[in-house]
Amino acid sequence: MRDAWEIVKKEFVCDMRSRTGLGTGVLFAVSSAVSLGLAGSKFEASASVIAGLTWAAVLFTSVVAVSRTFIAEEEAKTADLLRVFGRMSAVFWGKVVYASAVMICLGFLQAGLVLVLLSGSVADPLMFIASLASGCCTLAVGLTVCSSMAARAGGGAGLAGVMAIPLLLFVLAPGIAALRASLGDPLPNAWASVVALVGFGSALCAAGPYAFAAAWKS
Amino acid sequence: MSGRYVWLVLLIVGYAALLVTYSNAPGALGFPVPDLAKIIFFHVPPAMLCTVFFLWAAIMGIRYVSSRKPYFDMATQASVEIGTLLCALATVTGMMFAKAQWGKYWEWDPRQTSILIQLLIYLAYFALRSAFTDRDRAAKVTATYAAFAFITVPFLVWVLPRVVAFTKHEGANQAVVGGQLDSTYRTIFWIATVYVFALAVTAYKWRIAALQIEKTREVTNGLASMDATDTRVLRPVPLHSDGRSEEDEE
Repeated sequence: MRDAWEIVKKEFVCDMRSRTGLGTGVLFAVSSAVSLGLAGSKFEASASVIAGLTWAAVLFTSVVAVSRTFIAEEEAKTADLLRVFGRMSAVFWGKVVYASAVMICLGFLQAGLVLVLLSGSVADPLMFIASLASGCCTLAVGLTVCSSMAARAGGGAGLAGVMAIPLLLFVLAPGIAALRASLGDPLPNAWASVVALVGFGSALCAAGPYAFAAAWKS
Repeated sequence: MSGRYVWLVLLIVGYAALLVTYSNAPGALGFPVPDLAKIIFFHVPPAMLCTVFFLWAAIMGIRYVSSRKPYFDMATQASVEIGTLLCALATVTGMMFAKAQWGKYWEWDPRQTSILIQLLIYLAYFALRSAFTDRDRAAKVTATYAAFAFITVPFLVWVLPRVVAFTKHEGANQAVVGGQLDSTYRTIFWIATVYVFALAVTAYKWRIAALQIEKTREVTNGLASMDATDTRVLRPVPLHSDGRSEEDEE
């Protein structure tokens, strides 16, 4: 637990120094939200359109912000230090916690901006928070595992994105359904979508440490 | 002709005979256009069997990661290849089915969407495999990916169609698995499934045999290059700015 917390702190310090993860992610989130707002400025977007655009933007922002987590370690030649640091699970969970925190910040920033720019409003705040938070954490776990697999391959972050986007496309369906419901679209059994998101995220969390240990230590 | 070719010819001839025999049968009930429902013999078996091959790839991937025996890497690769082929077949025939039954090639029906996502997920396997220069590392990482990627399959197959309320597959699913097909249709459907499975397993075994030959060649070539009698020594050659060496000038 303490080792994982050390990794979280180290990630935060490195990110503040290099501004590659959060800094790039914020810029991408803002500019993509502005692009969507510009594209939809001439029509009144429905809840389903806003939900769909928001989740598509969050998915691509996650690739930009989180997919470099292990690739940056390889580039900075600090990956071997991490390998000898200790337990693989501590490294994995430290990275996942930091990536989840980054993604939650970016997800809410981006969703808020899209809502403001496309004149949407939240009807069910609890579902809005639950769907975005669970979806962002799921994206963070999936991308962390994909990043560890692509770290030593040619192609780096691009390859991690190519692997992660199809793997995480499932998030879009329940994510959009739950977000639509939270924006006031009457959908039957919308909480089932949040449960599906949490279930998918939990499955990735359960298998993630094993996949990470196998890929990262090779 | 060896036994395996006889087996393959029998399979293909049998499958063709089955379809020709059935071409004059009446249309299936439970479909919007019953006469064009026969495409399910091409569409449903690959859609079901690709999941079986992806599951097998995950099992072989886990076995490779735990044992590092090259056979399991070959089995993983062959399973993903055959599974992806079946998945692509299911996607294309699904589009034809959609056009025939629903009037459009693509409807964003949850089942159509899930099979397309599965196809993309397993195509990424090949991108990952080709991105490594080190074969052993490629084998280990892709085996891990094959196992990890299978986590999405139950969600795509069972959860996605239930999360998205609207599906046009309801009627088709009821017709195929809900017992609405008449006995002739059902018999032919299951025989076709067994045929496609037998064809896919044959292709899988051949692919593994081909990969083993490839591996043997690689090992042989590797050993040849490490031959102790080979005493040639590489030495640096100074190059001019235009790329020609001093030896070239001489």
